[in-house]
Amino acid sequence: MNSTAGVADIAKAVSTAQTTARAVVIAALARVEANNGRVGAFTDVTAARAMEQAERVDALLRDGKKLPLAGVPFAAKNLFDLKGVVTRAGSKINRDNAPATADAVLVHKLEAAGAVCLGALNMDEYAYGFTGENAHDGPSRNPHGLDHMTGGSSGGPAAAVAAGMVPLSLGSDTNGSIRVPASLCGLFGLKPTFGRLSRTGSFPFVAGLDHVGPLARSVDDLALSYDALQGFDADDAALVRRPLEAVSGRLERGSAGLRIAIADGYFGGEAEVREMIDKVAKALHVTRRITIPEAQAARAAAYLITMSEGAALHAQRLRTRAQDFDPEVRDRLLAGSLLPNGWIERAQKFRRWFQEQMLELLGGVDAIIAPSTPMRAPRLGQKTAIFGGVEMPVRPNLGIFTQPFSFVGLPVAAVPIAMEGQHLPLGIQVIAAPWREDFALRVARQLEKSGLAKAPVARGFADE
Amino acid sequence: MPPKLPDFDLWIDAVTPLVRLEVAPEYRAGVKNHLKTASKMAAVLEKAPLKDETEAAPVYRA
Repeated sequence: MNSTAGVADIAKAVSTAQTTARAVVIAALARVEANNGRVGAFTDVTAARAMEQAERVDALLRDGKKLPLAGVPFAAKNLFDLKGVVTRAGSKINRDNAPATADAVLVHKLEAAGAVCLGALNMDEYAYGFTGENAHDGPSRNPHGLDHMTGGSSGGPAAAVAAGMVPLSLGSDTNGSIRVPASLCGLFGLKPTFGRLSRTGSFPFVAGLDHVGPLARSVDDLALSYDALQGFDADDAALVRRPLEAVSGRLERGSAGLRIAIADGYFGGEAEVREMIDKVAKALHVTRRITIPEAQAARAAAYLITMSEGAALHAQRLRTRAQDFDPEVRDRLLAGSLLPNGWIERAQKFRRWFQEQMLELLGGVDAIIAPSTPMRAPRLGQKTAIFGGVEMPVRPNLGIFTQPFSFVGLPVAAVPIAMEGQHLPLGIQVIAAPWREDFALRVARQLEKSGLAKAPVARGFADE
Repeated sequence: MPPKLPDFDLWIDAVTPLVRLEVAPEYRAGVKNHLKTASKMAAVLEKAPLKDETEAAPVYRA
């Protein structure tokens, strides 16, 4: 199978014995070997493990077992535990830890469905950043423009999928870390409802905001993997016991019958962002606009909670090994250690208020459309950009549109929007009510069917 | 008129010993910048409407 084959293509070909998991994995490992130097996606390649799993999958298929993700290669952001690998979470410090003794729950679930893990992927240190840059491992590079950022913190997961190394990756999203790189690398992503997917075996950042989810190149691929990832896990204190709410094969209705609105005001963005949103509105025949109340305050509250809780998580490491942090992360965590408690208390109370407002809005509409990022991928090393006419730092501000929604745990599909004449991607968020991932994915599917949403392997990485 | 920003050097010098941290001289400019950003965020949040009765949702279930 070549670099453009998706999750569904591979699973079908392997399940029907047109090829083997072993052959698929050998080809994927060869692509990783050939291209990783250019994009900096993988930090650990677990080739031996992958070959063992591929052979196990082939044996199970020969025995007649049905596996929905048979032979699908994937990789996981390096904050997910992989048995035998040190979980670095983008840091130098955690490299001194012992190797993980078990796989993260989501890695296990994908492999139980027949997928094959190829290794661990680059990220912003401790998931604290939106750039995909990393002082220890070097940056992940955007396959659509190698001098540009992938976005982060799930930068490696985005680079690996956009470069066609794997059709599927696992990322995490505390404030936008799946949706920002999905936008900048032109991918589909899913940040599910808070409490939907297990975080067990992943290194935390801000427990009350941390989500995990998949990135892929089509809605079908996202849906197939999401269905395999669902399931209760008592070890994740935030997980809610829900029935399996499978979406695969249930998205073809698209947006028919759904009430959709475009977020205005705070989510207006620059000219190219507005142009993209206008195209989306036209494709979906949506004219309704809604204002999300106090979106700027929601972003501010998420920002402060993240700073403070992140600092508390890393307090001991800041005392003993400050010099070993990525400087971009260290200084923000040190500042986060010094914030007055009254600010954080107010931020938490505001969260409750904002949740109530969002639930009320989502009682009147089934999906809200907003941009994912305020701009296309900045250049690597770029420190500032113009946001709303004002020059501001890139690192925290790439997440201005994503933070308000993860702040209250809403499910969001990240959808890449194709624009003529643009080689650097840009994407939108489709936000739905809690537990209605299906609504968000149906809108994504509608945009995909219309031809407006697409996630091709980047030029120069696609097999002809 | 926006609220006056605090003296960030004073803030760092006063609070870091209380939380048993040190801010090395080469980190100070970065830390001050982040305190400035946080102060602006807090000012935005200060204006948001909240009743005295509003309670946090410490275990968050959307």
